[in-house]
Amino acid sequence: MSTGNTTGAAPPLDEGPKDVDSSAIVGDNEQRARTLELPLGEALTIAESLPITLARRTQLIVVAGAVGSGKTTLIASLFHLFQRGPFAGYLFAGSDTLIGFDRRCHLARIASGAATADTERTKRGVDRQFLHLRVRKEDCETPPRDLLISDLSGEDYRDAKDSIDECRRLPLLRRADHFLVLVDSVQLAQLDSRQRAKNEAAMLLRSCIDAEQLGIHSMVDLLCTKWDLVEQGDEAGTVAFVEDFQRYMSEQYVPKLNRLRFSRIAARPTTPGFALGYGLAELFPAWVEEVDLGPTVLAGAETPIDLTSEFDRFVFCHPRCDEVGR
Amino acid sequence: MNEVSRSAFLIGLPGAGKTTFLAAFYHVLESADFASALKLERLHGDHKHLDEIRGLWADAQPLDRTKVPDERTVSMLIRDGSGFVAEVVLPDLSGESCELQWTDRTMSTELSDLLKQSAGGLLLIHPGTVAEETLIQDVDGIVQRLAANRAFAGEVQPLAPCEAPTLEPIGETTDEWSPEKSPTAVKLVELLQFLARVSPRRPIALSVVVSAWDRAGTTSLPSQWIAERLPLLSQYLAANMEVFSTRCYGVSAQGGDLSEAPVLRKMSQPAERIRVVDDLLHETHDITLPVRWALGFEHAHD
Repeated sequence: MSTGNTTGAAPPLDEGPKDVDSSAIVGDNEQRARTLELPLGEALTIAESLPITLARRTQLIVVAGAVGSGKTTLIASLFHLFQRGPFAGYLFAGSDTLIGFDRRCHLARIASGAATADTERTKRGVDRQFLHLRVRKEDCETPPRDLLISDLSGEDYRDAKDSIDECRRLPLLRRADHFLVLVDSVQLAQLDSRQRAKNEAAMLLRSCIDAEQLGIHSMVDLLCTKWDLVEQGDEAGTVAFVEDFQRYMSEQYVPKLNRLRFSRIAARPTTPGFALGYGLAELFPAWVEEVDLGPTVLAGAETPIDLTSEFDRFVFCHPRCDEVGR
Repeated sequence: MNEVSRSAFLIGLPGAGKTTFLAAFYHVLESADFASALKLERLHGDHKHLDEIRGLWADAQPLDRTKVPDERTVSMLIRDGSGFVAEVVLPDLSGESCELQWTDRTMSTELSDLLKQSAGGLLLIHPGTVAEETLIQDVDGIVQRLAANRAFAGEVQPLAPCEAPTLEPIGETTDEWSPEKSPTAVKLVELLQFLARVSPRRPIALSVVVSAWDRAGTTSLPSQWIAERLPLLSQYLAANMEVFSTRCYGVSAQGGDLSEAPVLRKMSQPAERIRVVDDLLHETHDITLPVRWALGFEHAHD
């Protein structure tokens, strides 16, 4: 099957196919009775992720950043890496969203027919935002761990950066075990865009803290993406600028967070000498193992819990709440 | 005689070699050319399909791929070397049935019921049909290295990385994603995830069979071949040892390519064409061994 995409930019990821309707699959009642519907395998909605979070301790990784900062590419690169073998000391143990991962990897493969690797842009406001990954340490001495990785659009995070109210509407930030803020190093390397790129990342973090979506319990990673392109040539003093940026962020936000880490990554580098997933192996184990046991959504929170809300059911029903006595 | 009923599934993507395996398996059981681990005690029901595919296999004739409408379930009474007897049900499923689970997200209730009842089964993988994930940057890297090698040999001027040739577009469009294009390992993991979802048994006895082993072009162990060519699948099985109790085999049921049919037909005992290698590098003609593991005979007294 081959249908063309003639635009230079990658087409946006849609919300995935509609939920399976058995009448659309089979032609008559008799056939329908003989067919079992299987899970779609697409990215999950909050409701669809509940069976995972209710059954097992699940790490929620929120990947945030401006349009084009590399959010979906980072997520796709994790799947590329596991397809090559164990990664960062972990085995791939399964995923309920293999279709979702595979879609996001497509434009980086030669099977796409593309000349250069690309990633589909994430559409704004999608309900299906969670990619599921189950991993296990290579020695298999501990049970597998589940990760839900949130893949929202850059526009969603732009709105959150600009408005406290919009930031409060972003689902599950408060629940995040790890909050990743991606900053495009290519923008930081350009004199006419570096200040804006720096301020966007800083303001997003500020907005999330002021909206009480992040706080003293939060573990945050500030990731300078596409770092291989910076190291090609540092005429603009990008390295020095980034170090100064890191100092500023540390002074402003370390006192307000549990942890703030800075890393330089290249999830899908194009520069010789940089391996696929550059910088991710040092970060991944913490994303799997380190748990945010913060009380942000427990008793005493300003916003009352409403169990008719999928979000509140996700948070309230999570085993972590039991761990801290709720 | 204490008889139990045991089912085993035989699954794999299109072209995996399931029907050839079944034909050779039936021949070994029925002909009793040598002392195999499993022996045929009695056939049940209509065995015309088995006889047909066995006959073609024995004459080193090509076997047509099983289509969905032609799927058959075979049933026979089998005796294990320890004396344990079981009625064994083995379906000859089409690869399309397995592929449809990935592409259309559907499974027939018949297959679902079989999987629920099965003690275990076999997953067949043909080396010639494995599609691995190849990234554009991987190919770009090869092109750059080739260009650098030519420069080192003095054939051309060396290129700076930014000047290295990259792939030219194939036409002016990119192909949209479709599930058919997914790497083989991704599809196989999903098949096993569906199986684990449907089957109540833990662990599920699984024989992973690399078919056409003579054409795999390796001296590695079967499990090593899987780890090298299908790393995602290898990891999934290792990380889910509580779900799947796995053994890996390399099996050449034909004994060679059918272009060599005149040579293959000269063997007085067709079973001598069969080659089965396990992860201890034991080599035998006994194609019943992977089935024996899948049926759980090694735990028959549990």
